[in-house]
Amino acid sequence: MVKYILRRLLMIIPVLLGVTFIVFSLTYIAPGDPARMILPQDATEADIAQMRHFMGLDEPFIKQYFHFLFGFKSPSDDSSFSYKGLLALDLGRSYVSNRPVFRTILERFPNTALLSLFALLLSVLLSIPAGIISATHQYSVPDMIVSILSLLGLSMPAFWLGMILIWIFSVQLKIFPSLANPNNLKSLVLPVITLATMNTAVQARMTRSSMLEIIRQDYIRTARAKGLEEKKVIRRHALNNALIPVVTVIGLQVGQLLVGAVLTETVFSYPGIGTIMVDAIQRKDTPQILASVVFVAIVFALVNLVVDIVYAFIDPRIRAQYEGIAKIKINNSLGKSK
Amino acid sequence: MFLKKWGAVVTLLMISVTALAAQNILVVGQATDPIILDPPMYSDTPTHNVNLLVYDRLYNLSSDGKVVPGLAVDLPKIEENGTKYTIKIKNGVRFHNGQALTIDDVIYSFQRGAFNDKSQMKSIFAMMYDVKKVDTVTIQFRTGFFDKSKAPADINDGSLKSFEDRAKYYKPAAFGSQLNQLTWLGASIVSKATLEKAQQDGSIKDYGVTWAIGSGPFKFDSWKQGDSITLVRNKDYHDSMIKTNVDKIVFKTIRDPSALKSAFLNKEVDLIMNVAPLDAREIESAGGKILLTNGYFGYHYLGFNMKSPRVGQTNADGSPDLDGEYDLNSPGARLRLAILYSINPADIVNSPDIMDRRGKVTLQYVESLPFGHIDDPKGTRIEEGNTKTGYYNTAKAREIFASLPDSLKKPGILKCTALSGSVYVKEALVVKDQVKRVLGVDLINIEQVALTELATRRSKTDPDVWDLIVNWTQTDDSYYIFVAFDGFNTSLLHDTKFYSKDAQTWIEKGNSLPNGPERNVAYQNAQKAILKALPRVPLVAIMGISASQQNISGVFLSPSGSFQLDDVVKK
Repeated sequence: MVKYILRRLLMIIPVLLGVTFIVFSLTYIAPGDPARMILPQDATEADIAQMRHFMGLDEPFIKQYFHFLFGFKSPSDDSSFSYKGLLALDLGRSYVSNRPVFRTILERFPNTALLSLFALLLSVLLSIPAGIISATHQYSVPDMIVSILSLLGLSMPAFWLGMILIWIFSVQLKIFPSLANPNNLKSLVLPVITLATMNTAVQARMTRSSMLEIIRQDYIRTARAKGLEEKKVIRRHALNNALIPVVTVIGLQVGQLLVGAVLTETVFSYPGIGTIMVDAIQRKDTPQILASVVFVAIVFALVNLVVDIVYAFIDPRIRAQYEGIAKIKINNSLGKSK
Repeated sequence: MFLKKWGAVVTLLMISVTALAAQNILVVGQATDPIILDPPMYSDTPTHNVNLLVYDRLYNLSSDGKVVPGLAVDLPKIEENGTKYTIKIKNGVRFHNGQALTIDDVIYSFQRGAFNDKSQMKSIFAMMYDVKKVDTVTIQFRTGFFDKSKAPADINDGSLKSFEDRAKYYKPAAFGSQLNQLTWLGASIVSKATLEKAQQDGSIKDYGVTWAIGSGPFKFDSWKQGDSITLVRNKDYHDSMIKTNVDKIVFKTIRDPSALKSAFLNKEVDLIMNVAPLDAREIESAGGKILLTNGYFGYHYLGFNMKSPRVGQTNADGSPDLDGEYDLNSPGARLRLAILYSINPADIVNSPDIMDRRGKVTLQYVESLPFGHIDDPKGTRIEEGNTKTGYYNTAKAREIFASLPDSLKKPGILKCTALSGSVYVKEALVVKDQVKRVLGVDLINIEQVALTELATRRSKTDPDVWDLIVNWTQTDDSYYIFVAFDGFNTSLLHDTKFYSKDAQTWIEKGNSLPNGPERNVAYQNAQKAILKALPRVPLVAIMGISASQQNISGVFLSPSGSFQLDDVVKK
């Protein structure tokens, strides 16, 4: 098992390198010149060229990518253009606010994590019971209601849903504030619903289809045939196995929650990393864009690692597979030594 | 004894709770965080809104556009043909940390604004030199410009890094709006001791959180990055005449325009700015107050790339012809005219989706920004138009277009740039449709770009990338405030503009004269020279629109659109 975890950890490295390369390339080819953004409007071409030199923007693409990974020492007296690189978790300072970019992210990430966690909890609490009811009462009224709501949840864009919720519950009914704030739980209700809706829909459909598949298996029929109560059949025999693919989907959706937070945070003016990214993109604040995307990629990769590990724990087949491989390898090595 | 002790604690708690509840808090919604709490280093409106309250200036602009003393005792004594200024400051003014504000702080602030590499407001001090401390409350400086004949070959204006250095190579010249410019945020007075300490210990990089110490009516309290910034009332403010009853101002960052409007309608914020005209209608019907800038806030225009072989002015080999002399019979100049006569700006002004009638048709080009309005239209293109439909004249447009070579009549030959997702795109669509309808050819292709790319395109003016641009330029009816600024910084106007030598002569004359009728005449003559050609088509003069709740009074918008909150009252 330890080997499995180590192997998964090692696999993260090329994934992250690939992500950083793609993100860096996209930022590099995106139109707009950060040097022009920093300098006053009446800056001369010579000023702009000098600023580009200070920022290392006049270097070839590959060299700039290596600076990004391993650091850059600016020829300027102003040390704010120098940084130690991604490997030292230092991508320098924001071109706009002059703050260290990772510090800004770390300050705001807890807010995004809180919003995502609440959304995840809500989606799990709603989707799994809904999926089970839907599957165990196939083609009934509850099943139809769950299916229709899931379809609606899947088809509504988060920003649109957020705006509609604000219009109804803030502007018209004045029940919830339209501006979200991590220190005010009431203000989180609407953004959490907005963020959770699509995930709830996906998970409910996933639970339903997974349950439907499981409850048609022979061993479930056997459990029923031996006279076991239906509730126990579902809870003890069907649910455990049906939830395995659902856990995978939930893990993948954590990444989706981080992406969804960009829109939800903007609509509800919530101070998380989503709003940092939007601001940075609008202002071509390259260090902030790179740091934010890389940070989200790292979180996403780590969450997937955790999901894979949990998956191995809850699915005996995967555990057995790895233990089997290990046994075969041990046997082989014993055979060779003989 | 026990009861007494707890009774006292409860009473104290009750008093604190009552005091907290009684705090009068004003919440201002704005689209972005301020950038930095360092006045000359950034000039966007949210940064202005905050810094204008934290820091004081020697002079302020009153709601009717007049310059009034702030930290200064009186208006300056101006001598030697408008080139020598002497200003006395008030005694006993203190920064928020209790330190006395002195002439050394004033000189230090000017020095930083003028020479710090990151200062975005160098233009305020661009003609200032020989800045001296006369006594503990008096400062003196001169205005002029770099005299090449006095300087060795290796020295130019940009290489001079202090007012003393400038004194060696500058020659006196009047700068009429120097006084107006001292009211600007970039001329705010900062604490020399505080900033020098921040520079030494490296905290200068923390964008002001530990050193935003001014002498203004509100003190910096806290900043939650990306969320809000809070100021608290400076109870020891030197000017006892200010009328505000607000204890705390929270500038809340709300990026999404619809979220900003919803927060206002839900009464979560008291003031919002940059309201879209269509939203203004909804806000008014929901009982909100609409605040407008005094006069017209800016122009939306259609600009032509003068380096373009299609709508600009090029030599026979296709290179840009930038000699400053217009060739008004060239095909490029005639295509510009055909487009001008095809556009009816009333459609933009009246469209509920664009201006919703909160703007007006304007006849003068955006070049009117540095030159003021022309009251006498004789000999200019203004004679041809009216304030209902601009220069719209379909017959003329078709006649000119018919005379053009076929190469300029092909569909899609003109690439038009506009800011992605903005009102300019809607305006560009109106222009495209009108040109297509009048000229019978769909000449224009619109390309939407992000803000950074727009800035790059404007400054590079690459004719392979764009021919037309729909954009915005700030100005105001009380033009004398802006006239010298842009008149002086003519480098700002190099992108799509094109001056004749005649115009440039008048600009230089206007720049050298102090504020007054003679100066205005010089600029108006420059504008008349420019109006003979068509570097830009004015589409609409706009007003800056903000909104406040009904219980708020005493707020006015500065000509640049930022809030002036010194006298804000919240009932």
